[in-house]
Amino acid sequence: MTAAGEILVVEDNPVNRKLLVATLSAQGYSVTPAVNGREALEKLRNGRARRFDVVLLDIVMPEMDGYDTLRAIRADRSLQDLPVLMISAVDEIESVIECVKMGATDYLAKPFNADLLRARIESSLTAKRLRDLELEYLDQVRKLTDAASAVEVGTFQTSILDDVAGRHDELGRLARVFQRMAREVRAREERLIEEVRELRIEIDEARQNRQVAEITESDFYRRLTSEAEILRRIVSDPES
Amino acid sequence: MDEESTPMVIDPAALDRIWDDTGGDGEFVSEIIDEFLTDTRMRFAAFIDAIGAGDAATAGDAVHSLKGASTSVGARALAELALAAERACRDGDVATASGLITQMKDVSDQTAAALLAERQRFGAGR
Repeated sequence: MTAAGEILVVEDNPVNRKLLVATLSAQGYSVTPAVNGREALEKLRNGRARRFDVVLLDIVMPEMDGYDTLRAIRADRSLQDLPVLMISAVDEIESVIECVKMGATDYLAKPFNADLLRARIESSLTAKRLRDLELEYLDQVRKLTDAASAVEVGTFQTSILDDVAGRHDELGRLARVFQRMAREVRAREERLIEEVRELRIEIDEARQNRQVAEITESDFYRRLTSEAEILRRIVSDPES
Repeated sequence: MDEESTPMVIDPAALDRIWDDTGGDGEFVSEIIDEFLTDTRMRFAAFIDAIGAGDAATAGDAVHSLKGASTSVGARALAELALAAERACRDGDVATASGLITQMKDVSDQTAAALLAERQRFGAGR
C-alpha cells in the first residue's frame, strides 16, 4: 500500500508503541517509532533521513517527556508547524489542556479507537498540506519580489522564476508575465547596446576623416605638398 | 478468583479490537500479550522497588506505564488498581500505594493467566 503520510510515534511503553505502529501501518501510513522525546527530536531534526507529517506524542515518558518535547518542537523554526497529537490516558485531561495551550494540535485518549485515530491523523494531514501550500506560496511570492530587486540591480536571471512560472494560478501567470517582460527588456537593452556600438564606430570613422581633412586642407600641408613636388622634380631632373 | 470473574480481569473485546485494527494477525496479538506480560513484570518490580525506597515519583511513573498498557490490552482490573496507585503516588501518599501492592500482585497473576488463555485463542487462529 502506498504510504499516505509519515507518522512519528513517540511512546515509551512498548505495548502501546507496538499497537500504534501496527494500527497505523495497517491503515496505510508509514510509521517510525521513538521511545522518548530525545529520540523523537533526533529523528525530526534529521530531515535528510525522513520528513514527518504528524507526530503522536505521549505525555509521561522517561528522559524527555511530552511537555519538553512539544516545547522543543514549537521552538524549532523548521518544526513549529508540524501537527502534534498528544496521546493521553482519560484521567490526564488537565495535562492535555496544558499541551493544547502549548501548541498541541489535538489529543487521543488511550485505549485509542482506530477510526478516531485515523480521523485525527487525516485531519492533521489535511491541515499540514494546506499549511505547506501556504508556505510554498509565500516562498514563491518572495522569489518574485527578489526577482524584482534583481532586475533593479541588473542581476536577474529568468530561470530563477521557472518553478513559480510553472504554477497554474495567478501567481504563476504573474511570474510568466514578469519573465516575458524581463526577456523583452533584456533584448531591447542588447539591441540598444549594439546600436550604440555601431554608432560609436561611425562616429570614430567620421572623426578620423575630419582630422585627416583638417590636416590636408591646411596651408601648412599645402605648402609642404608644394615643396615636396619641387623636391621630387629636382630629384628626377637635377639639370632643370 | 474463580472462572466467572475472569471476564472482569480481561475484556476479550479489547484483544479482538487489536486483532481487527492490525489486519487480523493472530501472531501479532500473541506478541502483544507476551510483550505486555514481560513489561508488566518489569513495571511492577520497579513500582515495588520505588515504594520500598520511598520514591513516590518513580513509583508513579512505573504504575502510570502499567496502567496505560493494561488499558490497551483490556486488563481492566489491573488498570483500575494501577490508576489508584498512580494517584496515591502523585499525591505523595506512599503508604496508600504500598497498601495496594498485594492486591495488584493477585490481580496481575489473574491477568497473566487470563491473557495466556486468550493467547491460545489467537494462536489457534481465533
